[in-house]
Formats: sequence, C-alpha cells, structure tokens
Amino acid sequence: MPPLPCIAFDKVCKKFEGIAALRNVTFDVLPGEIHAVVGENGAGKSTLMKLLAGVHQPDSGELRMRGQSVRLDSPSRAQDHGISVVFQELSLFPHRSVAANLFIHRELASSWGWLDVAAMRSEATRALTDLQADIDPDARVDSLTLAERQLVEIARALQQRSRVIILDEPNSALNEAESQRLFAILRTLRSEGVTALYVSHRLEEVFDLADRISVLRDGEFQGTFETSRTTIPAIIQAMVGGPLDQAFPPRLGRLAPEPVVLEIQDLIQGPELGPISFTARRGEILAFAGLEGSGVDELFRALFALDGPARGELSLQGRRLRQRTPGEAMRNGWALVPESRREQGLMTEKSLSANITLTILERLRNALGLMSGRRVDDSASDAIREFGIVADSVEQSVGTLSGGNQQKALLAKWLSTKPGVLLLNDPTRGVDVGAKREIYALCRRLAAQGMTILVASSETDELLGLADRILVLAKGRIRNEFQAGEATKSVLLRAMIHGGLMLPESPIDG
Amino acid sequence: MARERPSFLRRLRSIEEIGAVAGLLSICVLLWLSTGEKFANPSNLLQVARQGSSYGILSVGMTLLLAMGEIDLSVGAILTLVNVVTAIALREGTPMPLAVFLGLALGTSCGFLNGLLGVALRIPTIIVTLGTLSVFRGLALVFSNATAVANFSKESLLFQLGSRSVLGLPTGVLVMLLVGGAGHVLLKHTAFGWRLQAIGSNAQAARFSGISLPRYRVAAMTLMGLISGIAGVMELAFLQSGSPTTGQGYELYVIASVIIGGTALAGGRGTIVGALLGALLIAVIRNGLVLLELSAYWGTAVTGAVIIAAVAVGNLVKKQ
Repeated sequence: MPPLPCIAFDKVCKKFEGIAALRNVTFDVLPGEIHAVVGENGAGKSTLMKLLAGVHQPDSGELRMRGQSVRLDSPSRAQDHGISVVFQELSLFPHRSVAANLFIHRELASSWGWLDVAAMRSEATRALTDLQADIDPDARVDSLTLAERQLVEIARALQQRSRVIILDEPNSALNEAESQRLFAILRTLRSEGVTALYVSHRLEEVFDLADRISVLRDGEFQGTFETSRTTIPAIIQAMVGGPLDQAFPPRLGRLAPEPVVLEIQDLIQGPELGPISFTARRGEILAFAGLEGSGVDELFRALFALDGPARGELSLQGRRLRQRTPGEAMRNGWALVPESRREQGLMTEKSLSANITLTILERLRNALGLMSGRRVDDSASDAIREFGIVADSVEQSVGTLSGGNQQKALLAKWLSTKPGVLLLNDPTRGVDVGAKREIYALCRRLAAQGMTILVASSETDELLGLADRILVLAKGRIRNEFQAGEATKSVLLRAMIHGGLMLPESPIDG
Repeated sequence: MARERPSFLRRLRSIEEIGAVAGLLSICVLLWLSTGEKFANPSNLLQVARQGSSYGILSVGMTLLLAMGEIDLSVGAILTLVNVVTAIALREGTPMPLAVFLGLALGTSCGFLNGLLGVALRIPTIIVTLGTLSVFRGLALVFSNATAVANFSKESLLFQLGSRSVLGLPTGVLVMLLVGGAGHVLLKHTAFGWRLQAIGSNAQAARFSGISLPRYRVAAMTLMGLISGIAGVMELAFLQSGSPTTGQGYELYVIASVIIGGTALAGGRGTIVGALLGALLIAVIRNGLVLLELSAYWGTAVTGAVIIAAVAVGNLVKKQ
C-alpha cells in the first residue's frame, strides 16, 4: 500500500478579484520527498504555496495532510500543522538578533516570566551548527548576507520541528556555492523524513535536487513527473502548453523600415543594471523578457529616471536627453505605465477624472490659470470614450472599477500626455481576457500612429504575440535578441532561464 | 417625495464638513437654550468669531498640509516668534509696514526651514516640527526676555484696525476669510492644490506621475510659515503687544479644527470651509464654558472631548 500523501491538493480553486489564479489543482506530495513546483511567472506557484502557508484560503476544494482534511486559515494554524515557509521576501526582523528571530513568538522564559536569553542563545547556536552555518546568534540580522539570512529562516523552520518546509524561489539571491550548500541541507533533511516543497525557475537545479516535479500553467495543474523519467524539454513543453491563442491582432505589414528614433547607450544604474545598449524604431513594439530579478523592472525604472539619474546616454530623434527626474522624462515625451496599478499607478479613492488628468493638469487651466472643471471633465469624458472605460460617471472613484477598467484608466492617464515613447510594464496584469484584447489592439493602433512602445510582461505569450522584436535580459544585461516570428515560447523561456545560468556567478555581499 | 429622500440623505452624507456643521449647530443650540441672550447676541457672537480667527487662519495652511499627508506642529511657535519679533521691530522704531513685512518674511523663512530640514535630512515633517516648535518658542522667549513687548506707538493703521471692525466684522475675522478664500481657491482650483491632494492620496503614484515630492513639501511648508506669520501679526494687532506666551498649544487646536472640519488625517483631500467651521466650533465651546461660568481649566478638558465627539459624529453620519 502506498504511503498516505503528506499533502494532498484536491480540486483547489482560488480567485483574486474575479481572476482565477488556481483552477482545480489536484496532486499529492509524498512524505519525505523533495517535490519541485515549476511554472511560468503567474502560473500560480506562489499562490499555491501561500495556501499552504495559511496566507490565503482556497475558494473551493480541499487540502489534506496525511489523509485528514485541514483548514489553514492563518499562518499560525499552518505552523501548528508543521508547515514552515521560507519566502522570496525574507520574513525576518532585520533589527533583532539571530537568536531573537529564531524564537519569535516562542520565546523561552523562566517560570517568573523573565526571558531566558542564555537558553535561547545556546539553542540557536545548536540549530545553526546543525545546518553547518557559521553564524553568531547575537548578530543583528541586517548585518548578515542574504545567504546567511536564508539559513536563519531554515533554522527557524527546523526549530519549529516542521515536517514540511516550503521554499519559494529560495536561491534567487544565492550564489552557486551557497545554493549547493542549501541543497546538501535539504538532502540531509529528506533523509530525516522532512518533506520539502521547492518552487523554482531554474530547471537544471530542480533536476539536480527534486524527486518529483509538478507543473502549473495558467493556474492549472499539468502533471507530476518523476525526475528520473523525464527531461528538461518535456518539462518546458508542459510549462508552455499549446500554441498561442488568437488574442493578438496581426502585425502591420510595413513597406519600408521606419527610422530609428530611440538610442540607449551604456545605460547603468546601480550594481544590478547594465551596461545596456539598444535602439528602437518609430512605431516599433519592443519587448523585454526576463525572469524575476533579471533587471527588466530596473531597466524601466532607470529609463523613467525613477531612482535618480542613470549613467549612460539616452537620445530620442537624434536629440540627447537630460533625464534626471520622472518630471523631466515626461517633458521629454516619455510615459511609464507601472506594473502595480494600485500602488504606483492610481489614486484609488479619487475620481476617474482626477486620476486621468493628473499628468496633464497644466493643459486644463483656464485663462486665469485656475483649473477648469469643464475642461477636466471634458478631457476625462473623452478618455473614457476613447479607451472604452465602463463607469457611471467621471466622478466614480477608481477603486470601485473592475481590474480591466482600472487598467484602461491607467493607460488613459498616460496616453493623454501624448508620449513619443511609451513604457508598458506588465500592461495586462490581473485583467480579464476581454480587456486584454482591447489593450493589445490599442498597442497596435498606437504603434501604427508612430509611437515607440517598450513592453515588459510576466506573460511570455504576451511578448510573443505583441512584439516586433524581443530582447532577453538576465542579471541586468541584454543576453539575446529575437525578431517577431523567430522565437517560440519554449525558445524564449529557455533563453530566459539559461541566460542567467551561463554567466559566472558573482558572490553576494551583505 | 419618498423617492427623493434617500438621495437627499446621501447628498448630506457626501458633504465633507457634515461633522463640523452638525457639531457647531448642536453646540450653538445648547448654549442658546442654556444661556439665552448672553450667548445669542451680536457682540458676543462677533467676539467668538474673533477668537476663532487665530485658529482659523492657521487651519487654512494646516488643511493644505494634511491634504498632502504632512503635519506641522510648529505653527503656534512661529506665530509667537513673529508676534514678538514684529513687536520688537516696532519698539526699535521700525516703520509699521516694514515691521509687518519683517514679521511675514520671518514666518515664511521658518516654514521654509521646516520644509528644507525635512527634505535634506530625510526626517518626517512631524519630527522636524516637533523640534522647531521648541526652537522657535525658545527664541521668542530669548528675544523678549520672557516679558511682553508693548512700549511702542499704537497710532499706526495696524493697531487701529486690529481692535476694531471693518464692514461690521472684526479685522481678524476678515483676514481669516481672505486667507481662507485664497486657500480654498489654491486647494480646489489650481494644479498646485490638486497635486498636493494627489501626493496625500498616493505618494508613490504621484512620484510616478512626475510630481517632485521634495519640491511640493518645501513649498507647502513655506506657505504654512507665511500663514503662521499672518496669524502672528494679527495676534499682535489685536493684543497690542508682543507676548512670548501667546500661541501656546495652538497647534493642537488647529489640527483639531482641520480634522473636525472633515479633512482626512491620512491625506488625499481637504476642506478649508470645514476647517474654518471647526475653528469656530472650538471658539464657541470655549466661549460657552465662560458663559456657563465653569472654570477655565474645564475648558481644556471639555474641548478635547468635543473634538473626539465631532469627528466620531462625522464618521457615523458618513458610514450610515
């Protein structure tokens, strides 16, 4: 008789704002195995892990542990069931000591209620020694390197005598040697019967480490594969799935190539980005592909001067640009539609008209220099019509609109500046299929009118369907270039994954 | 008519100043019922309005700051410093217009300094002004030797107007209405005001929209300084002397006025009409306690309680 699965997902569904993140996910994790979960960005991996961590609860379906149905309705409930999570965003308290972090919420105390600092310190030392980690338990966490912090997180998980450890992209911050040590620790834990769920983009490592691999695509479970009986191309095929759907309007046939209008030369910002050089033509849709941490976000921020002036040369239509603040970038004819519309894009409590017109207030003043309510309303009404935003009136607050309409409002806000260069970072995040189609058609229309569009996306389909050309970034540099039609999804994904691994790893400083 | 009632109620609730209006009306009715003519006679009411005008002038600037998510604790101290320094300038024989100009320039500089310190040293405004509150108040005490400065000529226009009425209104009230009108136009009808509210609503989105947060922060703090200067000069005109103890605790009454008026502490929007009503409410309460012959010490306690009640009523009405 096979052992009872340590964790069983049974028809688990989860929606966010009406968008399905997980659909009928059903698979088993066996006790004492290292089980990898892979998938593209946005496939639902992190959502699935957050269900186990007690951060989110499934809308329907069931979670079973050793045959028993469980409700993990809070992180502490998940801990009670022996589940610990090492998240991408480290969840330590940076200003406290290592020992204090290990015993947060489970402090050792004497019978008088005094904290037993000595006992906690010696326990911490033992836990860290077990992991062969040479870390001072009195050190403040913010004085440790990322790799050391990760070890502290794992030590904390083991301290809680967890039977299941979830690692969500644990080594995106680790160098090769540190990763290898982490893997050795995981193998040791496996031999002690601990179950590990391991989420990663790096397929080579997954094949090196995991016993079995489960694949998610668009929130749906694609299958569990025995590592010894499958291959990397087979897993990529499962991650990528079938051909592109028909959401993308056809590209424009052009008689003659348009002139190059945008030139970026040796752009550098901080240690993470650059040097990067590329050019773009008038009316071109240029896509940037890369995994988390590849530098695509940083590139867009640098181009819009969000983190202060970047090094390197930017020129638009032969004119060298001085671009030290977002305001200067706007005056130079740039617009950035940011990835997070609620945090970076919109004022959710304010009206549609206040949001849409924020970027063009100067143009809406009357002869006295005062804001003209009529012009503001007219401008907002025009935008609502032009972009097909469904709303009661221009006074409706943006937070009450659907995701798709919010996104269209955000696009309207930026397109009303009539930019020459449009930066789109994840322009269809969290919107439904209908709104996606409209946004794609809009991009094509704008390009046809001569706008240069730089687009990044968490969905490779989108890049393939939309772009005239795709640049692949890894570790802050351009690694590959594909023309439209030249790349397929698996080729692109492979370039994104390998792009990062082909480089010599640089040690990470704390 | 049954169909129109909900829409009337909803419109009532959508008025930001509803808490201040409700509070002001109910307190006035209570006082009128309990003290009768003593409260509800023109000269007393004008006196109340005069008292409210000090808070009122300051609350205009504070509304702008709260709307952008900032707060200034040093307004009362700037008022005192301007009040004392202008009086000293007059005592030393400076012509009245020049002395007034000096006072306003000093207030503006204090505000500019507040903004600059916050931006340059990356300290939240509330902390910066917690510090400068003591600095400015301390300087006022040093310059005045901790005594009132009154030995100067009171013949000039400033003091003629300061203690009298113009167009039937005490001069302080008139200045409050002028400053309030300007502030209202600035907040509701200029790009500057809209951007202040955008910053208060979502600072990150404002930055992504090309708005320079440090520049707006310094500008708003400087404006607050100028307004505090105006209030300081008006205080001098009314008291006819520079007093190093005036303006103490004003910052709390001013912030309370703005919040009673319906401006959100979290920022994003503001109402200057509400702030002026809030200032008036506080002045009415203090007047009422005098009329009811309660000890002045009770005044402080009751004022605090009424502030909480007014904000709570405002919230309740809106949520229903």
